Amino acid sequence: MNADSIAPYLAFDWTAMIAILLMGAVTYFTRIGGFLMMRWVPEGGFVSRWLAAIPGAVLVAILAPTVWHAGWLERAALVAVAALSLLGANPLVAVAVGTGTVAAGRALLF
Amino acid sequence: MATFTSSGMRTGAVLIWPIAVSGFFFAVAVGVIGRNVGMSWIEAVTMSGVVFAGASQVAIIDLWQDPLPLLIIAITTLGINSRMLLMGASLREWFAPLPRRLTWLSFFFLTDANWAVAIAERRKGSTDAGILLGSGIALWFSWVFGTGLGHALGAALDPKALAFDVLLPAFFVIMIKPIWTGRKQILPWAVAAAGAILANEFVPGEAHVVIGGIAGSLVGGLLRER
Repeated sequence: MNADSIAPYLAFDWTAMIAILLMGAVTYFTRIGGFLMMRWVPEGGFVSRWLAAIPGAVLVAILAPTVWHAGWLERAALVAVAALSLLGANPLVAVAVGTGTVAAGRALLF
Repeated sequence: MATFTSSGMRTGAVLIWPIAVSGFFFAVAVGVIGRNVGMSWIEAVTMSGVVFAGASQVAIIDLWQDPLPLLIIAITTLGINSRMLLMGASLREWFAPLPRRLTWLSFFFLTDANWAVAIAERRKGSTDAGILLGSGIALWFSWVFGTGLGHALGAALDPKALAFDVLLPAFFVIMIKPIWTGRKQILPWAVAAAGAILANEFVPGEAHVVIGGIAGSLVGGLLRER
């Protein structure tokens, strides 16, 4: 095996490792932070409502520009994923149907 | 009342296994996507082992470019995973009487799935906090092994033909349902979407997630319960 063939497996970039450790530290803070600090945050107050609203807002902020720029085939597939998910389909099945639709569409149409 | 036993850990592992199987397949997909943006196998597997929070690992995929925007990656991770602050808070009463090192250890393995399982057992009357750790460790193994397998499999697959670019937004679409709690979210989410789209057009870099996320969540925080 030459260096090129093992690169996708064992390549070890220091910046990437710092990013991973940073993510790990931030995530561990979110895990233990609620246990350690939340007794000082009054339930139902602004801070707790704000915290409760963050994940949904971040999720939408990630998704919106992607959908805005997506082609009609991809948009249709994402609508299908949303519909299946809302109808109670297994999430993995919904994702597989969505990607499968786009893969089939690309094979047939382009 | 709180206890912590190895039999509780086993109970947790048994209760979580169907979710761990489904998590395994998600991890396979995360490994494939990670490879697609240039993560090495060791980087993808280390991330799954150290971060162990699928939504945030998927959320930073678009940010995984050269040079890595470390601050944006950290803030996005914080935003996505901040939901766990509330989960941790809800476990306070249960874990507070236990030795603190058990809490430090158990909470490393806290995720949406094992939180839900542990809380459900608690409501049924269980006092054994080992349920959280046992179910968390089971999830961790399936997550790390799945990522490693997915990254290795990714070598044999054609990302464009198999629509891997759709895998990522599709993940986010299915995450909407569990987070949706009612019509009160329409306004904050609309603000988040508009803020993110505008920032994506007019602000250089990858700040749109942070901008849209902060704008939308502040609106959500300002809305009072009716």
